[in-house]
Amino acid sequence: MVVGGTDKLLAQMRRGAIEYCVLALLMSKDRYGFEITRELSAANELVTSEGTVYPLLTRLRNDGLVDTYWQESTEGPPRRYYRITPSGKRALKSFIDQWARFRDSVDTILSKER
Amino acid sequence: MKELTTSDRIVEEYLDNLRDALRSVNPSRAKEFVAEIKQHIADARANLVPGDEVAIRNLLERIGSPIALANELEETETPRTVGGMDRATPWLIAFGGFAFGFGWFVGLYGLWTSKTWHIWDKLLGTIIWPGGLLGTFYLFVAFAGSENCHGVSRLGQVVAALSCSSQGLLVLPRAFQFLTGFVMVAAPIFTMFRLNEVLARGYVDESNRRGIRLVKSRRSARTRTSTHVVWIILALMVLFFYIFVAA
Repeated sequence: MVVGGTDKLLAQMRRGAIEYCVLALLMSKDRYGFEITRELSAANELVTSEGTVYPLLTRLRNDGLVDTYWQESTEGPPRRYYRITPSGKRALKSFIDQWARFRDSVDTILSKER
Repeated sequence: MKELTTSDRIVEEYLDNLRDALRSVNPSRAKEFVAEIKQHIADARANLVPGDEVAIRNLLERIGSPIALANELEETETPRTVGGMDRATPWLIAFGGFAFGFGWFVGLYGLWTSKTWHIWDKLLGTIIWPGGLLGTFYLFVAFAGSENCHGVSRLGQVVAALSCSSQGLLVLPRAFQFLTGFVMVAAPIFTMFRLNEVLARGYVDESNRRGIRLVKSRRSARTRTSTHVVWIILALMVLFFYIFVAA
């Protein structure tokens, strides 16, 4: 791997991690697409283009980690809401455990070698 | 009708470009995605000062370029998992017949239970030919015909050849005999290539009732057209063949 590949690596890591960020956002309440993208883009470095969140939501739905329902909106047409499923909750829990260990290991090595 | 503002026009142009970029994506999925982006823009615009063109442009910039979104959508589609059975099926369809005829039936089972192939490919795999290349062999035996001569042989000498009659393909001109022979051999091989081609390039999208979604569809739009041409030629040849043999 070359150092110039950092952008690509970050893009891949971002893509992988965002899925779980979405699941985490849905733990507290059901949300619609715009709400999810707004929360994600409020966090730095997480979303480069907001539109890419929608394909990701579709994938989560196809994988059975979230499901969706339509709800009337006070402003404009009905909205599609996303809700985390039990298997989504399990996936998130296992990611949180593994992520913590992964992050700690990388941080430990990086801080030693600095 | 309400007149479009400059901001509306910018949004419309963006959505048009997006639809254009999504032409290679499964149409129902593309439509759904455009609707999601449209809703996103509407939600975001609710918080903007009306007529603020710069804000609209910034908003669209944040959403992402149509090309980038189309690429992302293609990457996000779950790839079809190709099972070992799917890989074996085209070969079993072509050559399985030689395994006591049994292999072809296994291939047929694989073909019809798989989600990889479209109904037309399943029919193709079944009809041309039953038994695969073994079917070709039987077609030769059935249709190649024979030449019967009735004569009287005495002491190793043919005294009189009273009559000779030909049956089957032998009644046809030699060039046509060659052509039909070629078709009989080439057709199941073409079928095998066709099934393998679909296997190699296709995604199956559950939401797409018509079956196959193509991965690199920008290129394969052309591939599909050429496949259709080959299909039509093959169908005509088969039709021609049956008519002549039956006649």
